Amino acid sequence: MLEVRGLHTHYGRAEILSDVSLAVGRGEVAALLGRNGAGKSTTLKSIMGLVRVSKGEILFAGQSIRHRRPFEICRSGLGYVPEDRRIFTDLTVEENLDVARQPPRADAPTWTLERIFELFPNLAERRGSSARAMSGGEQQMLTVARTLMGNPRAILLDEPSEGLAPVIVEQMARTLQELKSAGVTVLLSEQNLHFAGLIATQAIIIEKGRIRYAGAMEAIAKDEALHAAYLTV
Amino acid sequence: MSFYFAQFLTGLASASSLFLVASGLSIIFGVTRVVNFAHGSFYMLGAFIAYSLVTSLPPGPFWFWGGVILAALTVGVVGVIMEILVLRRIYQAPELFQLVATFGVVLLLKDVALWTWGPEDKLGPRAPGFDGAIDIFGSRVPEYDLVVIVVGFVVLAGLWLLFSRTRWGALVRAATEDREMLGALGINQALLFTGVFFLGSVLAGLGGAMQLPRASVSHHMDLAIIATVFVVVVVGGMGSIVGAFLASVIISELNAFGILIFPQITLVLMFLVMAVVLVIRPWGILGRPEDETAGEEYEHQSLSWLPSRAARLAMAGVVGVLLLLPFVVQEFYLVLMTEVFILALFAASLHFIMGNGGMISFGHAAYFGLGAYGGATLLLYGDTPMLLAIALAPFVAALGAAVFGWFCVRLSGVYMAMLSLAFAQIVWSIVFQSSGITGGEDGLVGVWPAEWASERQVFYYLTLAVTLGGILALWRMLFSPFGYSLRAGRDSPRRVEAIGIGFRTHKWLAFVIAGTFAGLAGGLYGFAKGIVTPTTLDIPRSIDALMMVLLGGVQTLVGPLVGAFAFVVLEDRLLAFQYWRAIFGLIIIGICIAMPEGIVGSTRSFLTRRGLVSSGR
Ligand SMILES: Nc1ncnc2c1ncn2[C@@H]1O[C@H](COP(=O)(O)OP(=O)(O)OP(=O)(O)O)[C@@H](O)[C@H]1O
Ligand SMILES: [Mg+2]
Repeated sequence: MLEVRGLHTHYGRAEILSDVSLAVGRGEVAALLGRNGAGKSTTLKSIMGLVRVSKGEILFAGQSIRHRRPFEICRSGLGYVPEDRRIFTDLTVEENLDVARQPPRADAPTWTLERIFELFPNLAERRGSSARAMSGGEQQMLTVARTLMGNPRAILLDEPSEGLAPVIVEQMARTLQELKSAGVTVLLSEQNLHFAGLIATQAIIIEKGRIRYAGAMEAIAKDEALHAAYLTV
Repeated sequence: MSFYFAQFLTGLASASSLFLVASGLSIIFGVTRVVNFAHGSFYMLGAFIAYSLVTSLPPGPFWFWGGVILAALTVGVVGVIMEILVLRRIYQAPELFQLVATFGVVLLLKDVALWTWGPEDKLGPRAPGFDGAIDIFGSRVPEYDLVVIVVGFVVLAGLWLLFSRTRWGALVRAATEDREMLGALGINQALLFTGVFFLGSVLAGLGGAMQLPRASVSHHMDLAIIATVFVVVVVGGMGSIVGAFLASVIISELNAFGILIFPQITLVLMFLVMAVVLVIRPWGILGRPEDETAGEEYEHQSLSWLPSRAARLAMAGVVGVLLLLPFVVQEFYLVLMTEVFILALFAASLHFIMGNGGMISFGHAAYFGLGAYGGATLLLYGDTPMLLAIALAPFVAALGAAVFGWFCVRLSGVYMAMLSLAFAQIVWSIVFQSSGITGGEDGLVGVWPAEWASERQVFYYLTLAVTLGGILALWRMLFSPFGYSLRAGRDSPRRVEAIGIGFRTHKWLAFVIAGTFAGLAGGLYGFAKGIVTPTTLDIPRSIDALMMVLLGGVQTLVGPLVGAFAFVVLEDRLLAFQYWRAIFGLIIIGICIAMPEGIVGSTRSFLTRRGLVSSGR
């Protein structure tokens, strides 16, 4: 569904990603794991066309999206949830969802406001209120919900569990489970191994901008040496 | 009592038409972050087009209002064309380029208007059905004023509905907050921006068209309104529609009543209001704080600006040639070169705050002009000897820069640019209006050099010596600890603030220094020309300075000097054409799009790419 080959990305002169390759199959949930500053967000932004890629190929549903602009990439069915939430605080909850609305797609679940509010009951209660006034957890839910309004075939999720209370993390995990069962492909960037383990089947480890490991999530969960080398701080 | 009420209504009518224009500018800025200098030109264009339509369509209210609306829509299309052809190419560039490029459009449209409608002012017809005056509590108020007031409120309500009740409005508000995120959610920014430009330009056009029955249509409408609109938008808060409305009302009412009490100093009142608002709320009444660093997005090179040995030798060579010049060329070229020197100092002084402080002044001519007028008045009224007059001129400018700079350095990026322009415009108006002292539009004549310096050659050497001294002094400061901390502050204001340097005081000092040297250039300029007119401190003069800096390259040391030379030569060639403004405008636009590094910067990049010089900048 999503394939990245030999990706290089620079910020100024510094090479942040170096020869990154990964593949996520249709309906699969893959976790991109790594420490702070490893290059997880940069990988997702590169795929989404939000930072300029210097070399490499990005295929989505068999088509190259490397030279497309973010809005075109989104319209081709790839959703993006940023790490710092970036909800529109001037807008109400409902407006936040409305601006992200895209036409239905034959090969992806169609999300209406009603369905979104079923999945996120908290948002339903606050649909008319300003997004600014919401708690961190609610804002995080809103960013996910907002991306779903584009009826994506696949989504890039940047650390959805970051800074959330354990209860909310559980809730987020359940939500993602539901997405998974609806057939949405997910590439998830995470530092929280427990959270990733709840939903991901594939794990990809990135360290200093290079892919160090890719394999089954279960295998990683048990591999202490791998943790020590790339994940624990 | 009734008289005051009538006066209040007059003020409200002016506020209403000011609001139409200002809201358009504010909307465009809110979403695209572009301060559209050509907005005043759109206003003028709206008036001219409405004039043509209304006078050629059949009489009667239907065609009158049809003409007004059609004029507004046509201006909307012009705005869209500008957005697509010019701005789309430079959204990523530093905001300075957008401002300057839209000023290129100002020049272009000025000549388009001249070519289409001729130089005369046009007097439009009264609005059918609203051509009388009605009695309100015993005072007569023009009916049309009431129409304008109603239209103002209707537009305010309409915009409010549009932005708060429609998806498009939500998109615009979202784009104001985070346009990149909106793109990642599948929204085509380009289309949204174009739509916003259309709306904003239609509002400017409507504002102009609505003026038709109130005042004659003139070629001065563009720059006359833009300064006021900048004040309105800065006071109201960029991007806030209601803020624009409040500020329009405050400023217009102040004018309406101020004129009764102190007819001479309504401008000073405007200045005071602006000052009070900005001290209490630097982001305007309803604006919201910008990110301090947002306005300063130059790609800062590591500042090894210090010229290499080879470069110093080359400079010494150039000075040598300049010293020999009077022996080889005709007087005409000496006059031209004298002007180059003066403008080079002027440009270098602007570069001092732009390249180093990251401050964009759109009103630098104010200090040039203050110097010119300072020198000239000292000479003419105080019988001061020429050299003393030239030496004192910078102090006049420094005084102005100290007052205005105190406010300007509190703002950053485009806010500062707009505020500095508004200040310059105020100085211009005061000079223009105080004809008893300044000679008004005709200026001060007879500002000739002293006997001993009246030979072209002598004045040439005098100018060379003074300007060279000035430029070297500026450079000396650039490489002093003062200059370093200024650059450090430009690159990361927070860090410098954190380590305890009063960065604002630094910026203020730099602003005053820049003003002082601009004043020195201005003082010389008066004697070089023999006459000092208000054009020494008008908006185009400020833009000239920016042009020279840009032409040469902001991120280079000698850029302003090369820029001044190129500018003077270019202007000398262009003035032969009737529509030189249009050509000049096109050149400005072309430079902003194609050569953002300027002559020196582009040459150096070219040489570096070819491996001819080392890449150490
Ligand atoms: N805009 C930028 N300019 C320069 N360097 C950057 C920029 N953004 C990130 N970096 C650097 O790129 C590297 C990778 O950053 P990235 O945000 O991709 O890491 P991450 O794995 O997402 O980390 P985190 O878990 O903290 O979110 C880091 O070293 C960071 O300092
Ligand atoms: Mg990250």
